[in-house]
Amino acid sequence: MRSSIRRGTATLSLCFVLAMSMLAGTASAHVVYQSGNTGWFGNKCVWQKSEVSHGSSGKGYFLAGTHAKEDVAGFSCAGNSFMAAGNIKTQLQFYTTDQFGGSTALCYSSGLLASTILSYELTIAYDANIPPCGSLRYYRTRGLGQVWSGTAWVGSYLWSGTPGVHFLPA
Amino acid sequence: MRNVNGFSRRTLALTAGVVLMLSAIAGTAVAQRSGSDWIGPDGRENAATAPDFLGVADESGRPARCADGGLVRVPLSGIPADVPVFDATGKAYPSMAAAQESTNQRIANGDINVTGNTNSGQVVHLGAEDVFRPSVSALCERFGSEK
Repeated sequence: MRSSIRRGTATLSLCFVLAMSMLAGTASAHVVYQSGNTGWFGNKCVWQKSEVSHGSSGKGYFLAGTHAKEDVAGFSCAGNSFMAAGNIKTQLQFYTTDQFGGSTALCYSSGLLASTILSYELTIAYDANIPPCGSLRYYRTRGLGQVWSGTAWVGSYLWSGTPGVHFLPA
Repeated sequence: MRNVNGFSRRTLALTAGVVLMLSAIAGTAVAQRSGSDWIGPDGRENAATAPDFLGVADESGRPARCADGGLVRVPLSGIPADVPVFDATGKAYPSMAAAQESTNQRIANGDINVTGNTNSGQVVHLGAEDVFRPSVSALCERFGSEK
């Protein structure tokens, strides 16, 4: 009977360890991001990156980047495309959910900022000193990227992913 | 008999613990999926299934609520330009447009660390004065709450 109890206890303990490993695996990701082309015009395209990670203090690092790219030697979106000042825009938004999921709620947003120099990229980053919307929560980033085509703003929103969530603080 | 009962109690307690824990984990997964089914694994939004509004978190991260107890709603497009906001230091701005202009001024004045020169990439390192949360009361008044 005792060996049966021990076997049962050992099996349940193994289940517990496995389950905690799954949970820890979700929580301990260091950098969570998505990137890719989100818009096209002429021989140019818009490439974006949205990221959430630990940051320098472990309290959260949020990044949204917008790049203008162009076709090179027949390769689509292979090279940087320099755009005049003001022709690339980026907005950084970050959201939170509680430890066990729940709806996605806006935490903070930057303004929609424009490039101020001749450039192929406008990236906005925020390295938080404290978890901006509380501790022991999941965070995710949503970036808005736009490039001026000459007639319209081209680009989109891009999230750091699903399940592109990051647990803070680290 | 005591052994059998002891075994049963112990097994029941352990089983209940594991079931509770697995339920919590499953709850996490389900909630994340159900709350994000309009966001693809590649981070792209599905316009056909995206909601018109999202929630707003209070300073501790809990969903902010209007005076009627319903959840605060912010348009999917973000904080409207004319809605009052607060930065992460607590400073109030009369509108999101004014807050954005404040960041632009800080960039122009060299108060924000901007890396990159002409003919390169440009990276703006925001401070706590450059990220903004909307006024809950203004959003409640404008868009109502979600019950």
